[in-house]
Amino acid sequence: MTGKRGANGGLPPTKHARMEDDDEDPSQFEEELALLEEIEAEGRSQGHEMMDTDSPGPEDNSAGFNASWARSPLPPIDPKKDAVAFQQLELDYYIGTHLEGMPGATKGPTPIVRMSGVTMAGNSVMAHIHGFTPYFFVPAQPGFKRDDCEKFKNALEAAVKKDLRSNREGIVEAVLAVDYVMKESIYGYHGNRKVPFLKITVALPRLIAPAKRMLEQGFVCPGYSHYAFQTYESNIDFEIRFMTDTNVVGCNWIELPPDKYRVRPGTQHSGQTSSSSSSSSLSMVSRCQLEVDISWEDFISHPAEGEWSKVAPFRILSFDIECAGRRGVFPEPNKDPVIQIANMVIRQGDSDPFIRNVFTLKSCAPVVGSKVLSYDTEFELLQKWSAFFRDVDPDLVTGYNIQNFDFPYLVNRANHLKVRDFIYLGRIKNVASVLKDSMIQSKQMGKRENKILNIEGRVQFDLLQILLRDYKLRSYTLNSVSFHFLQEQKEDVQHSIITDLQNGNEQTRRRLAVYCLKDAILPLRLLDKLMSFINYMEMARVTGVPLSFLLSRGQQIKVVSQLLRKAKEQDLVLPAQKVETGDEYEGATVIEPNKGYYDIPIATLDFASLYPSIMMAHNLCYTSLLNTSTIKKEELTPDQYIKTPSGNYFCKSSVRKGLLPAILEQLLSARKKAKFDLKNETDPFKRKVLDGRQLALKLSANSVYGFTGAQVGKLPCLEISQVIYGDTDSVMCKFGVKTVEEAMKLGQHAAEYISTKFVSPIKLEFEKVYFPYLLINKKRYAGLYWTNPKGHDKMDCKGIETVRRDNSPLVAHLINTCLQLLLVDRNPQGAVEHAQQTISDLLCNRIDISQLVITKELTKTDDEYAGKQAHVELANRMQKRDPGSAPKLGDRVPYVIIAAAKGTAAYLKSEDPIYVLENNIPIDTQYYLENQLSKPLLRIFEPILGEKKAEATLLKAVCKHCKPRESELYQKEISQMQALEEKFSRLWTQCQRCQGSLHEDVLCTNLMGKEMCVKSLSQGLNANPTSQGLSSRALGMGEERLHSAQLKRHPLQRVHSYSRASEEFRSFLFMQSYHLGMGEWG
Amino acid sequence: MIYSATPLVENVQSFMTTDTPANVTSNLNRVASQVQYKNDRFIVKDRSFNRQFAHLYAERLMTMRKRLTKAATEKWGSTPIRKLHELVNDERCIVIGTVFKHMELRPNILKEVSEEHNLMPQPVRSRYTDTKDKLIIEDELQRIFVVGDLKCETSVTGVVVAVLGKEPEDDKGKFHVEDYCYQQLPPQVPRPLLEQDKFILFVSGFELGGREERPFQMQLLADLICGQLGDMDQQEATAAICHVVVAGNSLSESTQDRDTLTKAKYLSKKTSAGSVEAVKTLDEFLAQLVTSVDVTILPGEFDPTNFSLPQQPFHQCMLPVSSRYNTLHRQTNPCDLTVEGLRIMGTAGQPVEDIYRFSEMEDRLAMLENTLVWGHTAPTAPDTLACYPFVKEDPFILSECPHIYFAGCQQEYKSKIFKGASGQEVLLLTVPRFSQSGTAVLVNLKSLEAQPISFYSHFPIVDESVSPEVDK
Repeated sequence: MTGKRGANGGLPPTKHARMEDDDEDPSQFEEELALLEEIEAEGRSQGHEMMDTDSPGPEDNSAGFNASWARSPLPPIDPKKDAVAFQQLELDYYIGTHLEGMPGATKGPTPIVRMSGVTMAGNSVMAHIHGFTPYFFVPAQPGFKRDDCEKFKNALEAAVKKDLRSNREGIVEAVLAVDYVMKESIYGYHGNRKVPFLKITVALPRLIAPAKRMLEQGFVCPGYSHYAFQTYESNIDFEIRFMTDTNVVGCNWIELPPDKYRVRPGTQHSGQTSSSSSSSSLSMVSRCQLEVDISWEDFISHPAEGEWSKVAPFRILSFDIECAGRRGVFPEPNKDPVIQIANMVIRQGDSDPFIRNVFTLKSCAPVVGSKVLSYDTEFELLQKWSAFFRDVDPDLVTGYNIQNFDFPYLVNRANHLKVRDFIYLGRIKNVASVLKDSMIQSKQMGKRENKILNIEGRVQFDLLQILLRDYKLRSYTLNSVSFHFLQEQKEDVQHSIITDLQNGNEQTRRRLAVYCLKDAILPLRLLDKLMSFINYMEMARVTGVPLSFLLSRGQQIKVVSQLLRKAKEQDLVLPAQKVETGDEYEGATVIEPNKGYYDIPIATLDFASLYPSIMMAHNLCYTSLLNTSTIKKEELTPDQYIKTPSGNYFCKSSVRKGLLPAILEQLLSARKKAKFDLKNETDPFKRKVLDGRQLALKLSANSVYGFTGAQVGKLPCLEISQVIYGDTDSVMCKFGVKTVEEAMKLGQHAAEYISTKFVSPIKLEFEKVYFPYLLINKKRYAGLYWTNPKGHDKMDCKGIETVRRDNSPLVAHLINTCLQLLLVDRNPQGAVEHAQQTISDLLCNRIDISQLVITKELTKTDDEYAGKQAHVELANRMQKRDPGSAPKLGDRVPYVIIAAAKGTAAYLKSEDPIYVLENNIPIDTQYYLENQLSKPLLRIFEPILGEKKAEATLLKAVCKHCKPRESELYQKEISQMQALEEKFSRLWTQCQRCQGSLHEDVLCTNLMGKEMCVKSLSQGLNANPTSQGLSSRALGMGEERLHSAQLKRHPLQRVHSYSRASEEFRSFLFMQSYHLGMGEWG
Repeated sequence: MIYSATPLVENVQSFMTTDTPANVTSNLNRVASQVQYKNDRFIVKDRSFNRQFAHLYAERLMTMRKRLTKAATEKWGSTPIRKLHELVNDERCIVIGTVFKHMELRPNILKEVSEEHNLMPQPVRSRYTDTKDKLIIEDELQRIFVVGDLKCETSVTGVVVAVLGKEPEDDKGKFHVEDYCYQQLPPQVPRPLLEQDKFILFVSGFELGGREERPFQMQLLADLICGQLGDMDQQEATAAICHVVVAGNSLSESTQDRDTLTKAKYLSKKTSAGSVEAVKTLDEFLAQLVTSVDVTILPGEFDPTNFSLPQQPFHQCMLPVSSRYNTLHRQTNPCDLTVEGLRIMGTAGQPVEDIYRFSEMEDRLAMLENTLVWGHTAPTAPDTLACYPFVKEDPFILSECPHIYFAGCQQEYKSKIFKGASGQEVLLLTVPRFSQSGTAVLVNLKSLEAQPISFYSHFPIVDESVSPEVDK
């Protein structure tokens, strides 16, 4: 879908759609599709025929497309005898009423948790879990008596009720219970003593907020004084609360034991459910095959281990839509029709999609391997697709930018065409999907504007969102992404052509359908390749949050969930104030680098999972945090606590075992286990799961550290070798040996020796040898990476401009090539020559424009940018030029810097690369030299050539042809400038004389005109010497040599600038004479 | 220093014998010297022409007022110091302000502009003084005409002065001056005592590229400095020259080509600057010197650098050969340096020339002396002398008293020891144009004595000597 802007940021499509010869030359993708068809046909004897039913209502569970598309029928279940196990995927809650026989409040509304998932046989299940109520804690007021809980409850009930202005839900009892419990705050060490807390249970999750407010503002319990309570765990999501208390983690298996659950009627008779929405809560409300009710105390939640680490055959639907836009305008749902929707459905674990179809508007020639479903009206198309969607009943919906484009477009279009049934996409029959806007802000991703569509019971797994979260790419177009990960190009069809294809014949529409199908299958391939689903599922299991939270929420929720689970075991409670995330924590000790180019092997020793191990080794945690008064109070002896380099005290694990170390230990041992299992596992799919898990565990362990913002850790000085550089968790040592092999041996020894000096589990590991090694600065180095003496593994670059995306590819290529030449070929001279050649090419305009494209993400709305930024300005300009193709918030905006009049601010010089090509706009090569190339180049060459020399040979080298004329050119410039200076001086002093004052600024009636003219004259003066180069040093003092660039550009640019200066000067003179009454206008 | 115009026979003979030609000359060493430059204030860092000159005047007045207040109080006791807007008629008081000289004949750029409108062309003249010139004194807010003791002939615009007098009831708008005073000369660092004679050679106005160019004398000068001339004694003497100052106008006025601005683009595109060849010659000349001695070169009015004061150093690219040596010091004009602890300050002569044009003084050395007395190197800047629009400073104010104060590119050589009120001793020096006089100036840093040294290119038939001659 080319019209989609969500992933703008690539280069212009160079290929144009070929429409003529697609019959003779079926694309590779079509062959592929055909092949899939054959494979499938083998395993199937039945033909599939499309059943024509009357307009399938959303209540109808079978749209009757194809028998093999629907889920296999549910086997008979006897609730008395059969246990049901399913993997839950989505978990949320709704407000319902009490169900007879279930725990919890019996009157008024009550929260009911809803889980949906799939059984191993592939049947969809929805479980309504009753009786779990939200609660939070406050520490009991000093002197509070256990018996007064009831009094407290009544007082709070009254206060909360009063606060509820309108009680629309008909809440009968807001505060359900107040219990006197013994707990301990997680923050700080309290001598292992529990103190009384009050557990306050309320009827609905949303009542926590007012109750919390009442208590925090200060609350009077009869018989006690006014007291402001600090609340604990009052900011925990209800879902997380529930999952913690029931030991449910994301995507784990839930077992419903026999005789504990009730099956809702209608369940086993799919396709014949009564459509009447009964008031009985027991009737089926979902489109799942099995719907049950169960008490929260009765179901079994299996930890994701052993047998229960398996994955159910989820249905994943990937789709893509095409719209017929108008030329130059981005498709608008209330004007431009949806013409095609391609769908691919795969079962998790299968290698190929088992449903491949495309819904088209108007007839379309058949596509082998895919079902073509053609409709005459768009109304019908949308209606049928919606029915198809419900029929297929996907557990996960994916696609490329479906969240912000496809879904919103479909919903808006359907609403516009009044396709009433369309919006019932979720699993709950009577809940329509509604679009909302949301802003999400996180440290990891910055600020984004997203659209949110609620689809109950299904997880939206937009590939683009995943890529944005997990991968830093230059461009996020589907094309460039698939090229990046799959080395597979897809054709980009311009959206104006789409309309032409649609308006052609059934062959051209077929052409479009193939294109659309390809866009639908690519996300599936990418998800498979990146193992995103598996990794996310494992992450959900490890951190214990629902799958959808991983995509819609930030990092913090994951740690909170883990912390909460662990805290619960030890009767610890979390304060509600934001857990201290040290906003700016000091980095670890960094040993000043000995910059330079090392032509001998450099051994590198690393700490294995440094921060987690330090936290574990020294028992660093909230719970073990001490202050001096605690130490005194608890009479701790110095051997019972440690002091960190930053001056904090923590008690040792003998006194109290910390929570975070425990979490970390668990995570790391789980990782070890996963890695071990991985080694022994042969099944490729299970290997994927295990690999995903160990990765998730590693990430989680590190995020625990990030969460606390703890600042610990210091590298001991290694005196056995010359440390040339030491970073946070690694040291580079020069052992002075000549071969990689010797360095490795010594490194090994050193690591082992030093490890013995540390508190377990902190361990120094020998990992690699760099040879040769170019150390540029802190966190900036490059070298060949050796792990065995036979040959280098790769070239390793840190902090060098090969990866940063706001640099043009030119920089990355140049730096890469230079590093290649320096490190691999050991040819510094060649590297210098290459750099010079590139600079020369740049200045002579011989560089391809694609090399000069810079991309930047448009993250905030315009008015939030304080300073003007090039890409924002450009986005605004493009918006004016053509709203259809202008980048949107969250897009990466590609631009190049173009030559503009002197003194134009840099942010105004950005331009759309395509626009530049089409209009032949000159590039500001100077900008690229000065702002993009010079610094990175100098950085890598300085250690080799020396500071001064690097600059001289690379940037200030004068071009061969101009070198002999250097002096001459300079003098020519200077003579012109002298003339300007003289006039400047004389004019202003004359003005002073006219005015009759030396000490005051000239204020003349002719000020406006003069100001402007003098300004331009001044600009001429200002500009000439400085930015024009030659004279820059000219007036400026002659230290440096001239810029080659400036000399090369000399003839054209300079003359222009002078002619401008002199014209302005003339107009100034004219104003002056007018001022004297001597001039005449006209 | 001895100049052997008549070399001793035995010394000359040593050159003639082929036996020992080299060993005699090889053991002479150039005396070492310590050089420091204090030109930071003259280096224009942010070139901004978006401002006017008022700031510079204001800054000058502010700085000088403090010094003048002190001088005036010492001279006239408790006489009240008034701002011009506080003047009370007939009250005898002191006024401190900037002098402005109202001159009818001063060239007016607006009139030049009017040429384009077919009005009268202005006569070309070398001096712009007239009997009708009037003096005005101005402070931050007001200005008033001055009559009386402060002489118009010897005053120029831009000098800050304290005047004693009154504005009489019957002659309003005029301040009758009975006495005046300038600032007190700033203190001087005691002159270091040198153990041996060390010489510094001043030369200016080579004016290469013009008709007056004197290549042969220049070569003689270079040879002399480099020890290629004269007998043993002579060479021993020249070895004591520890520094050479080239004080401006190394290029001739005729290399100036200011027409480019008014010419059409296509005409100026190919014409190269007239100074190119001359600069090359200069580079070659300097290259000879710098191999042997430290050379400070400052640009002058006609040199290829910026026009307004302070002029920035020659650009390295123009002197590719000589600037390879670290003995070449490309410096600003004005230039402020210390050699062996002696503070040396000077210009390439533009301020003195400008004062000449706008006053009726004749003696350039006296004008130079005046600028020292006024405490300001270039008072007529920015009024008639082009100057960078400084904002927060006036770098031309003399804040320390130099030991040697020179002006390059002058008509003739003159020197004088100026004695300040608090014991300062300054050698005032006008360095003549070499193209006119063939003369350079040697100053002995030990004794502060100056002596000119001239080179003649005509070979008197009567005199067979090729050695340089001393004019005294």
